[in-house]
Amino acid sequence: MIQTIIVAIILAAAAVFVVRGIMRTVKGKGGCGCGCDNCPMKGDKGRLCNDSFPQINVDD
Amino acid sequence: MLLSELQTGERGVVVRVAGHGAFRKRIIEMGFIKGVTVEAILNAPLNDPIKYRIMNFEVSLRRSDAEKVEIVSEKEAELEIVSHDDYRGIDADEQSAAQHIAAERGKTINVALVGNPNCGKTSIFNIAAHAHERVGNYSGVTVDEKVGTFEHNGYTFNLIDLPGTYSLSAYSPEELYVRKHIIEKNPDIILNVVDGSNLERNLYLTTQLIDMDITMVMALNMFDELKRSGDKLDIEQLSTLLGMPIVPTTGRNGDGIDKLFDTIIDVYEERDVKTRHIHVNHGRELERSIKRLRTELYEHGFSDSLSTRFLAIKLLENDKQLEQYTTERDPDGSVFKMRDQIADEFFRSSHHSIDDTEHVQKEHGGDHRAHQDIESAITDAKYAFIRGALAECYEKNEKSTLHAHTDRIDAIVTHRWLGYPVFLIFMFITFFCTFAIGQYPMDWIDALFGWLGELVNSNMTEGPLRSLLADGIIAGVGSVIVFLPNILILYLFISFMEDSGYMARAAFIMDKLMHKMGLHGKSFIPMIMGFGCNVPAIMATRTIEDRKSRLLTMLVIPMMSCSARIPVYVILVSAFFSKYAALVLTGLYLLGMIMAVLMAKLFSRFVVKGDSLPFVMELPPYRMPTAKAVLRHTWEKGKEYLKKMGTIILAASIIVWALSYFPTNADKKMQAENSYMAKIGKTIEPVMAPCGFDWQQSVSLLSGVFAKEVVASTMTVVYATSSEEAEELEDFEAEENGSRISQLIQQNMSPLSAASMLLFILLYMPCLSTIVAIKNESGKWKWALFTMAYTIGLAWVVSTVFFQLVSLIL
Ligand SMILES: Nc1nc2c(ncn2[C@@H]2O[C@H](COP(=O)(O)OP(=O)(O)O)[C@@H](O)[C@H]2O)c(=O)[nH]1
Ligand SMILES: [Mg+2]
Repeated sequence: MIQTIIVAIILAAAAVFVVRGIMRTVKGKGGCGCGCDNCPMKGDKGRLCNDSFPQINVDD
Repeated sequence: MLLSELQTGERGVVVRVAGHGAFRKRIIEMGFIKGVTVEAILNAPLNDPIKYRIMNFEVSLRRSDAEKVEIVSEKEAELEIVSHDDYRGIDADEQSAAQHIAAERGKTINVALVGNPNCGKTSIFNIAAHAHERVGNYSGVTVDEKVGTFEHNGYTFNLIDLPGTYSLSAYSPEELYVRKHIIEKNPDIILNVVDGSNLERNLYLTTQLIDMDITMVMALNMFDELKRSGDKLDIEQLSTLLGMPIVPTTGRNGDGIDKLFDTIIDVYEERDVKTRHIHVNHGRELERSIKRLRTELYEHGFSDSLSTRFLAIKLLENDKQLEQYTTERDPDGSVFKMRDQIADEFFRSSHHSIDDTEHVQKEHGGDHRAHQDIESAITDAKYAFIRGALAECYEKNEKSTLHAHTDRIDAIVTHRWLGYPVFLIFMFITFFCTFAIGQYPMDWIDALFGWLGELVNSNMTEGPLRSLLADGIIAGVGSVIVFLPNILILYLFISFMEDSGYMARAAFIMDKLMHKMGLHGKSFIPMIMGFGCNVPAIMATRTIEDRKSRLLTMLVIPMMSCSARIPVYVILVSAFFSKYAALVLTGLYLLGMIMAVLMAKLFSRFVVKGDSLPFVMELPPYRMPTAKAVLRHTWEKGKEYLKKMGTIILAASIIVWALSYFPTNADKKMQAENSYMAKIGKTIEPVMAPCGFDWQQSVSLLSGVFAKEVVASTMTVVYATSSEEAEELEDFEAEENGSRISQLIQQNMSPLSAASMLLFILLYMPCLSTIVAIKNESGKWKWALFTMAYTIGLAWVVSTVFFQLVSLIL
């Protein structure tokens, strides 16, 4: 019984995490999913990552 | 705040005067010097110019000029003193408070690093700002700006690392970006980093910066290489000729960096004797043209934010962006009339033969030719100036063997035919080591997780929590975390290839191939970055100025096998093809690249139309990467990987476990077959059956949409909960044949189906983040959805054809 309750809590937490992650990603806030905070490529920061570089949409 | 914001009756203290050259001088001559108190006498919203009292006399300043002066108002100072403990000791007297704060703020220096790609800007940035930014021995590594803040000798520096550029024309996004930064952000000092082993080309940018009439300090970087080459350079003399202090530095070990920032402080405080404004002499004819156009610009009131000399030169060079800037201020176009007239006259006077002129005019209408003519004359004149300057202070050691090894290596590595096999061999070695060396630590981690699983199984009572821990979390996360060593080794190799300069060669030999396939040569760098993670790769396409090429590159980047796919490859390969591991992995990566190129060809025919621009790839000399830089990069990757384990993979494992565990059923076999996971899997199984996949493989692939590593964890969890032998897994421990996961897979999958799955993983839809990145960068969901559709379609077709054909043969 205790096991079931704990499992239910863990499951709910995981579900919330996943749903939130998907929402953030779709909104473009989630980064690349490589596990870093908000920057799509933390360890690769030197290369490129922020919006200060002119973003030229190819199709507008 | 800015002087223009100072309200009528308020007083403030000058912190600094931004801007440059004659304009700045004028303001300073009016008395707006650091530390001086100013009072606004009349500043009404529509009032221009604004009236100020300074040192007891009245001056009026245009609003646009007043915006260039940073001040601390007494009101502001008062507030600050109340809220800040630091200022407690200071006299409550408003005036001295403002003085004090102005003096403090005046000790902040904004410095922008400007230089050619690969001259060592980021290395200097890292040393100065104690930062860990990525250096790399190929151009295009820094594309955005980064700011580092640090203290030096009582001053605070805001150091900005800008992307590398060869010039300040408007041809590439980098060039425009750097120019915009200099003009709009008005850094106090431009730190021009120059590669001392390649002076002539690097100084070209310097001459353009001089045209802009900004305060500069030069870091003569790669000074170690300059010394080793045996070239002789009279730095004092060059510094006098260019009118700016020059400090020799070595960005690799930090030599000279302290001196560099001391010098910057001197220049900022206007104590430096070397600093003076010079004009790069373009020769009599051109100088006259520039002067005429400048006068015209003056008359039209172009004298505030941009040096008129720079503007005149750029207009003569037909700079599109500055033409637009001019049009906005001079709507009737008299500046352009003058410009065209000057260009035309210049053209005539330089083509004395009348025949020639008429001939050209007939062909091109003259105009275009005339403009091109003056543009190249300006470039030539700049190079002539540089050569003239270098002739006086530089002596090249003709017998230098500095980059001799580069030439020797390149003779093979960029050879027309040899280049390709060499590239393949490098890839093969990389994967061989990734797999072979990675095997040992992988086994240890695997054993650790096996032991953890047993611990849970033997110490907990039977129930859902035990199953969640053992079959869900430990099995799921464990199955992916074991690949940490492989990932680290792969990144070690990639870092080394990038930092040494080999990657630039790989791009170079691919350039020709790419071009034939309708891709831009510059596409290769983002594509290579795709081996790490597709998302930054897609963002890196911003460096490609041509829209069509950029879109094409974005669409095919998902074919580049990102590191998240490695765990899945290694699981399958070590279960079935461990003898040929490196070969299979190399083959997969190659296939991905070939597919990318083929798709690009196809899309450029039917989907994205337009034409592409040529591109010159620079080949930097080979440099031994510093161990520190390589290891740090590798470590960063390792950290990210571990973090991903604790987040996405963990959550996915839990959910996948739940879907395979519920609804519960007393009969183990029945439970597995009736779980939600099985239901989902069996729904899509018919579609996937032609590729040779069972329902377990199908759901695993489906779950990979969130992150490709999840395929590996799902597969493990699903097989662990559904396989009849799951309970007896521990018995296999002793056998010599691979890890526990390998055995689990071997029992449930045929080699052929595994091979087909490898192909599918390589090609099918990229993860959610990549899809979103494509949407953001292309501006439309259309392209993101298109990528999803075509990758899934392609993966299905390739796997099916492969599976069916091989089944027939066997
Ligand atoms: N020998 C030598 N190599 C340097 C020096 N400064 C930087 N490098 C190397 O030059 C390459 C390019 O450096 P990086 O800082 O990325 O250049 P950036 O493109 O200007 O930012 C790297 O391989 C550095 O290790 C230096 O002073 N001497
Ligand atoms: Mg850089």
